[in-house]
Amino acid sequence: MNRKDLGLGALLVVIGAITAFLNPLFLSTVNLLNMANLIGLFGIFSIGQGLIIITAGIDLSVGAMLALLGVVFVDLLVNYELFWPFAVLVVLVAGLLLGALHGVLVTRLGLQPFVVTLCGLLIYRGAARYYTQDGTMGFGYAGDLDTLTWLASGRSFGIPHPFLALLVVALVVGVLLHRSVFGRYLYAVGRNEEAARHSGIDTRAVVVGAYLLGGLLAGLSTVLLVFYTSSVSPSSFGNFYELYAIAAAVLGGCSLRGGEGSVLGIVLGTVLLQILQNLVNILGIPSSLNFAVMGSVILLGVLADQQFGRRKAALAGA
Amino acid sequence: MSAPLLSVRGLDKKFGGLAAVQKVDMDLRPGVLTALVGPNGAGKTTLFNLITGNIEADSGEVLLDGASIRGRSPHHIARMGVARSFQDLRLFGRMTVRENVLAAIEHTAWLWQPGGRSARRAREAAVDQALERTGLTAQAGARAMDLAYAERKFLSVARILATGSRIWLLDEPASGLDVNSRARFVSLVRQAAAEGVTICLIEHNLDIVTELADRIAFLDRGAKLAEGEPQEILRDPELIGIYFGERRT
Repeated sequence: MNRKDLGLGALLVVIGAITAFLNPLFLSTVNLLNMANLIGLFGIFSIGQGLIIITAGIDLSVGAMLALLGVVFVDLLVNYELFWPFAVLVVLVAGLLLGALHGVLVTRLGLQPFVVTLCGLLIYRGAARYYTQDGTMGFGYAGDLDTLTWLASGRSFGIPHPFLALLVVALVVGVLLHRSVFGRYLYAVGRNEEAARHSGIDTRAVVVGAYLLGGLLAGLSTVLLVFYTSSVSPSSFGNFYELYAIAAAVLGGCSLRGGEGSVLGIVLGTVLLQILQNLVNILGIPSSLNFAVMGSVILLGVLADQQFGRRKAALAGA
Repeated sequence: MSAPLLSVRGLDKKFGGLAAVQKVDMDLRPGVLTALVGPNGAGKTTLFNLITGNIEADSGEVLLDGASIRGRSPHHIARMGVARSFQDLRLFGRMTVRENVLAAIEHTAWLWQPGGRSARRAREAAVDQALERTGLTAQAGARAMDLAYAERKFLSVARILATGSRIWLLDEPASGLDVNSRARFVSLVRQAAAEGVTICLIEHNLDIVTELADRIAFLDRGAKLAEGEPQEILRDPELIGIYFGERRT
């Protein structure tokens, strides 16, 4: 656990304690499990976003990707009556393909990640709306989806499956990022791509790898989110989720300049965002202020981190 | 004379109307230290960029062990044993000195390095040795961005040293070094050349060139004007005139 993760953990405890003091319902089992569910749902694609940010990239298309993959997923299950493991596989592979497309456009054609994924955001949202003729897609009288419903939105030992899925994803990606050679490559590329290239690292493949993982995790999140909402409205499903993911990654210590961040930090960032949302609800703050509260806390967090960093640098230089 | 390890044949590169490198031929032989000398804008760094695949040549060939490497990507060429340093160093500033060196030699796998513990010990030993030879053992845990300038210069050499590369292309490696650091650098490079490493360096300090180089290739406006023994090149009044700013017609 690094200094940033510790600081974020402490901030979580403080905010949690204040909220619980103001309204003890915050610590009720129902509220905590509901939050755990949301943390799981938002944490998985935030980890994908974090990996991309570590390579000094960004993915603005995540929310629209969720919408497009979501309508395709529901269509496959409901209208094509595809056996659900195949439908899940199609969504995961489609996520990988979209990630690969972003990675190739960024590395082979030299386009800026911001531009590539901004275009992706517009294209995927438009495609999702066109695909359903702007209509909401639900499960209706779809065949036997009990197993999938249980897997995606059920509970084991009282813990929501999305949260358990997040723990598994965090563990696997944590090992990949912090213990494998690929992880070291991700940091190296984010810190200095040219130096990495001349160290013999295939920097293009590393960047494509990050976008692939981002796409795969977006695909997995789609499956879970579709069963959370039970339907997909293509104009609103996943709206702003890319910003949640970026906020979680940045709060969790990822630098938009690349080369910094940890899986634990991203998960803690996601937890903080969900606590803030919960705090708005539970303390009776007008829900219209939801984004304003989140934005203010992120700004304060980044400012505090910058001040600590400067102080540390000044002490080191003294 | 031994066969060249790396050869450049008729290498040509234009940027718009500017001929950055013009039909350059050059041979780098094992254990021979060649200095690329010439005024600013002569095309020395561009020649390095062409050899290491940073930019693609318009025409000509780069041969490593007699086989063409033109068109290969920089990371492929690095893996083939051609290492280079940059004027602006390009280190991983927020990584430690040890991690910087380790990153340069860990490039054979995706998930885990092959060879298990023994291979890991070998890599650690290579890092230790590179740090010791460059005098950076005490700074192993420091971040590269926190090092003094001379130490960062030595770190860029340590990264190359640890790779065991056969060819070193050093771009102004001694610029900005104080007298003591310069002496350490000269001894380090001499030792590497004595061990059979083929070195080509771009250097503006003619004292260092005289001290180190076995051969000098003189470039001006992208063309190689002369190549030979240091005494021969550095005593040519026309070349020295060009070097110090007298334009040729």
